[in-house]
Amino acid sequence: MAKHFPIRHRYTDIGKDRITVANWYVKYKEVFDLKQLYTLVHEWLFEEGWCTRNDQDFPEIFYSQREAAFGKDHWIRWRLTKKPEEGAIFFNYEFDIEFHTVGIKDTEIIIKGQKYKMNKGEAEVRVNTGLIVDYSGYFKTHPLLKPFKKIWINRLLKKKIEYHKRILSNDSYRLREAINTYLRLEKILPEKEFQEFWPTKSLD
Amino acid sequence: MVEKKRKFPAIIIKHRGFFNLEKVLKTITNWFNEEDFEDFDITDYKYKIPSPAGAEYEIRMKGQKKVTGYVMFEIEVILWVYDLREVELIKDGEKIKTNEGRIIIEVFPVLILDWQKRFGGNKFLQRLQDFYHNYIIKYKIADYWDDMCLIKAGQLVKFVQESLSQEVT
Repeated sequence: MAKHFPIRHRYTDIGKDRITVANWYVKYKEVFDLKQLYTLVHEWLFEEGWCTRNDQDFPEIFYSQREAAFGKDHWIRWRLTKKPEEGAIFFNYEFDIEFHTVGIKDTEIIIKGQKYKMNKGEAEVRVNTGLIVDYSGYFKTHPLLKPFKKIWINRLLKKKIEYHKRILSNDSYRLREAINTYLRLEKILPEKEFQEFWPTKSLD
Repeated sequence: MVEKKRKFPAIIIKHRGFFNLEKVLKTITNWFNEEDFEDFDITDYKYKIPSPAGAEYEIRMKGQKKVTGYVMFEIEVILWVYDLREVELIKDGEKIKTNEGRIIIEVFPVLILDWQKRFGGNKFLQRLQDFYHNYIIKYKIADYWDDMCLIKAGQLVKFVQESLSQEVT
């Protein structure tokens, strides 16, 4: 089949071993700086070790911009992976980030008597965080261990999986907090993320 | 590839508020010169036309120091400056010109082994190099050269923090 249909979903091979840890989105419709939001998410990912400073390696797999009379639409897809500090052979972390904007127009606002260029429109940041178990496919390919894979994952690795899930969900919700802080939305976590250094949408 | 690079995680300094960019740049360049980094170079210097929020800079510097005939330290420094504005402050009764904005300084230490490419040539020599690194000087690399490289980067970070008037231990 693969011969005739070479385009496949990237989870086809992974199958059930990808555990979705966190799935959330932030939708916002008002005046904000799209570039700042884009940079902020990138910086957060760099600081947390999800990407390097080398832009050529950055996994921005899709960038689409459509210009229409009512504004610009963007579709931006980032597919990030990270090796955990513990159990790097067996586990892998994944961050799927999707930016979608609708009707983005340039606008100007005045803050403290100075004009700033901003964007007006609707933006949505969708994040899906996943934990991949048996990343190297060790169990899948091993003839003797293959039948015991389920037992191994559900019984013996249960605590390890819970541990990795906690780390990953922590990361994911901290990113949401950083976005919420920038957009001045309600914060959920006790500690504000990225607020001390990066300005919010109202540049304070 | 014969030259082996051991990269360490970046050391990041963030500062928001008053600082003197010229002083920070001079501190970094002076440190590289004083520490005998021979191939010091400012590889990138980007400046963006100031917006009402301020100017933007991206400056990349790199220096290499030959420690022995086999070991070399490489330190890369990247400065990201946002919303940089000139301001006047009164300090100890005197007016001084300084900057206000946000600055991120990233220091990337790298340990380069076999910079002279002595083990170049054929696969046998490369295997020999792997053996040399993994069995003969394994602990010398991990316990000594890695630490030395990180200490050098730490020294630079301390100087930079001092130039930013941050608390240094």
